[in-house]
Amino acid sequence: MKLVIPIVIMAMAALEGNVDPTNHVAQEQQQREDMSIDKTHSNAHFRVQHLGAGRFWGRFNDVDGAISWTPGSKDDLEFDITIDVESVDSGVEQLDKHLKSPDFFNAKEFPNMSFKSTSASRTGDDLWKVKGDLTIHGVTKPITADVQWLGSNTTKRGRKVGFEASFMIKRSEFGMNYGVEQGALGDEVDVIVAMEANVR
Amino acid sequence: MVGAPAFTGFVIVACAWRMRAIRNWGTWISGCGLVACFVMSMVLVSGFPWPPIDAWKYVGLVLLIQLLLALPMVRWPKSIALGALGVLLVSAVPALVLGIPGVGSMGWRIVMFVFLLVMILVTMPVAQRKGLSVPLSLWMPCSGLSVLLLLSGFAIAALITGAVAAFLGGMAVIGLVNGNYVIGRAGMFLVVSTLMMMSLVGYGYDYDSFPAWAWLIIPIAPVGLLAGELVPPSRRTRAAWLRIIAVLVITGAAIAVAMSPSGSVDTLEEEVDLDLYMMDTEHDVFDGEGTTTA
Repeated sequence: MKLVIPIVIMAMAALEGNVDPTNHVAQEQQQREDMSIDKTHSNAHFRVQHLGAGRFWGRFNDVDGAISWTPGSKDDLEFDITIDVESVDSGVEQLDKHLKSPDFFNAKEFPNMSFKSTSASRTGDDLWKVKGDLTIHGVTKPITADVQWLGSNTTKRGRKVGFEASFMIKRSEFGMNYGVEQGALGDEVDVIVAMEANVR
Repeated sequence: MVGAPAFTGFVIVACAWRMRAIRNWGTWISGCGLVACFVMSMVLVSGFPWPPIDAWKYVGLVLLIQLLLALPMVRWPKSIALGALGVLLVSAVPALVLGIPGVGSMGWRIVMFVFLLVMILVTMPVAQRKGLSVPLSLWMPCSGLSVLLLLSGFAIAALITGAVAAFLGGMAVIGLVNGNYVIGRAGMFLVVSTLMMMSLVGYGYDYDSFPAWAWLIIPIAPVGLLAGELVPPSRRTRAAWLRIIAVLVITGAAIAVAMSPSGSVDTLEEEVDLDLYMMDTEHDVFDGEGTTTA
């Protein structure tokens, strides 16, 4: 019996696929890593309430920038991200034009959105709260994003690290209030930015 | 969005024309109505952030400045010098203030100044023509421009221009009821200025929805008003018809160019999500127990 209990515990841990979840990040190397966004495998998604009925999803295909962190650190995680507004992709060309027009992002005057972090704090094994300044449509506001470290891998072409950031904004605070008053389009926009970065 | 601003402008002009004390300001009052309509529509549609975030929103400010600068023109032609100074200043304001993407270079600013100056001088003789033909003629290019703006994906500008078109429709009604109504010089050049600026806005922010010619022909449409000057002043009805037909032809030409195969007609044939343009819509809201209609 004394032998059975440890064996059962070990078997359960193996089935979970994560022997030591609390040390997930801590096991990473402690050396600071400076990374560049892998533009091919990074994008930003947004969703907004549409006509009080459903949720409309869209994405930005061109995400660029830099990430720095020290794996295992409690507060060393930095983002400097830029998104090309022209890369907005709703799947319908006419809608993309409307989103790029001054009704929304005004891409001709404000071709980029950006997020620059100011501080970060680790809240879980692989979770962070990252504060920073988000600039959209020429308006800069402080926001807090929930960031999850998704994993790291060393390939033949170098080391890659993955993060996913999610946050919510009120677009009217960024000067984009088309359709808000009439309830045609929601004010609150959920944003998810999926990032893969290559360690330099 | 469209109705309230247009009605406000209509009430301003209608009241002014009923009050003898301010009838002498009639040439300026139409301009007041138009600017009130434009600015109110702009505030209703996109709020009142100051300073404006987007360059095109300075069009409202330009119109306000032009309205104030138009005051000397009330004196025209009693003071030629004052009137000429007013015309020059009014023509220069858009070129000095606006910085619309794609048309903000020095060359474009000179074009803006010269175009507006020429349009004001060309349309000035017609501004004092009585009746409904002048406002009705000006309603057409404004309506056409509103449609182009909507199809290009710039709904807010389309709504504002649509409000101005509705205001001009109201002026046509006043002209129908009161045969002595004139839009006046200040009213005329503010319409011409609005057409030019909103056309440039459409052109500057457009993503190749239409050929550039479509945006450039629309603000020229008021030149068609001169057709009425080809007949003797005694033949007012024929002159009125000539004005309307000439402006209609030029506006139609702009629309035809926009819809031509050389334009991006495929974008027009694409399914447009009209829901996005349906501003006043009922929708169900979940209230926690069931759904209620908001």
